[in-house]
Amino acid sequence: MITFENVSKIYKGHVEALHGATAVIEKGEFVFLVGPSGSGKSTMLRLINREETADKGRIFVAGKDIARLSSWRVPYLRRNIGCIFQDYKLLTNKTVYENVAFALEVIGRPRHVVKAQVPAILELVGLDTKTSNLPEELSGGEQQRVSIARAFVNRPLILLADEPTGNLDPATSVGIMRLLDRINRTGTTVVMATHDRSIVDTMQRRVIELDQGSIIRDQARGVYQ
Amino acid sequence: MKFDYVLRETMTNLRRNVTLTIAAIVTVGVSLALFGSTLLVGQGVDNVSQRWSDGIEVIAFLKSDVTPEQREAIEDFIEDSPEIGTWDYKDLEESREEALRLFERNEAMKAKIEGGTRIPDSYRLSPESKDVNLMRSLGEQLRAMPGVHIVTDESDSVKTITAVSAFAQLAMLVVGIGLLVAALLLILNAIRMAMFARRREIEVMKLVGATNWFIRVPFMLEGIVQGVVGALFALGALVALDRAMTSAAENRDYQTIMEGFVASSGEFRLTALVVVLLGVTIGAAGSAWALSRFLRV
Repeated sequence: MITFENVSKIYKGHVEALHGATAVIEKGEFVFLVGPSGSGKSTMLRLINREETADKGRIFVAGKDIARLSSWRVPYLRRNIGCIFQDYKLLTNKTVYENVAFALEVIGRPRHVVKAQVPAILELVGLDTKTSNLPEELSGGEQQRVSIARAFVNRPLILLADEPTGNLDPATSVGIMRLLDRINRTGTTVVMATHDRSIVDTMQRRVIELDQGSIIRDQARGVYQ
Repeated sequence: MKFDYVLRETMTNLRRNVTLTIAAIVTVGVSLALFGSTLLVGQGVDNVSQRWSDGIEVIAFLKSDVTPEQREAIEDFIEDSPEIGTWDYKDLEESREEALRLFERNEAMKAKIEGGTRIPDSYRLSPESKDVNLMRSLGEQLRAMPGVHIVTDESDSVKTITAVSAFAQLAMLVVGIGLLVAALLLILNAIRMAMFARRREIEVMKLVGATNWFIRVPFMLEGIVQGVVGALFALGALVALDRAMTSAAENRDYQTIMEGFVASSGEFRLTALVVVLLGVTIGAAGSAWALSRFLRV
């Protein structure tokens, strides 16, 4: 599903965020990216949905070399990739329902699709009673659920998660991880960058460890270490 | 779905930035009004000078009840004046035909003439000398003669109109272009502010895979709306100017000077079209500039 072939990324000419990274992530895998801040985890995620482009090497997503994608095709690549973040990136002036519906509306999905999909996904993430609340009226865990609903409502092939539990207490984090696990079981490939040792250790999934831009460990059913 | 989304977003953008939107619209309006006026006045001046380009310097129109004796006296006077080089008499029929030709592009005047308004017969005098004072005194003498209705020596006034209007047109054009540039920059900034206000939404749209055009169109439309609304205000001002020119041309006090100082309806439509197209262009250019500079997709 995702292939990194000897990928390097250099910011502003001298900061090497990623150095010769090679990894193959199969369809349906659940992969943790671990490592200290600045080790290149976020860069890897940003390369996958082409928010950044690689300076060396090649990246394949769903069989396509994404460097060769013309810029007008990039949005269509991104429709196959859901993203969630530490800070949720919700629109504060829109309700829970509108935040999720927005993701479908702006890619031109017809109204009846929006009306059918949004309540279903909100039920899946356990927010069917809070559809008309504004994000500020929700707890952090609930806000992250809204952002997961928004990322997943279009049924993407890949879900990228950048420190999704970074702002949450351990109990809430467990709830979010259960949700991501459920999404992974539907066949969605999940790639999650995290600092959270206990989550990585309990989940027992593949772990890719980065340090100063290099992959130093790639281990199936690994721990944080 | 897509259409009402775009419309809703555009209206929200315009409302959110209401002061900047008004500033942009007013500037577009004023600049295009000046620009359009320059075109209209220019056409008016062209029409006037065309009318006097035949080299005739003095025209003595005759009263409708002029007697043959009076005409004989006038012709004697002309013959006896060495200042007059060549002269010509235009009878009623010739005058009518000439008037129809001159007012070919002035529908109101044309209708009047065709409706039977009498164009008086006249003597056309081309002076030997170009001395303005000499022509003046000649005009005075002719005016005093029985049977003479009006004497016009337009050379002066036409020259003045042409000179003043050339200067005024240049000034209006310079100010108009300056304001047009200001309008472009205001629209650029209005769009930039709108994009800043919506940066979270734009970020999310990019993440979920909205196409570049889907993100851009509401902002493009916002700029174009500002340009078009400004152009419509300018159009209102031009209609008022056109009316003023037409009514001045019909006012008896200025008639001899202002006759022909009118843009025809065809010319007015062309000016209106130019103004609206300029409005659209300014709006589109301002927002396209903002999008290419500040929206990385």
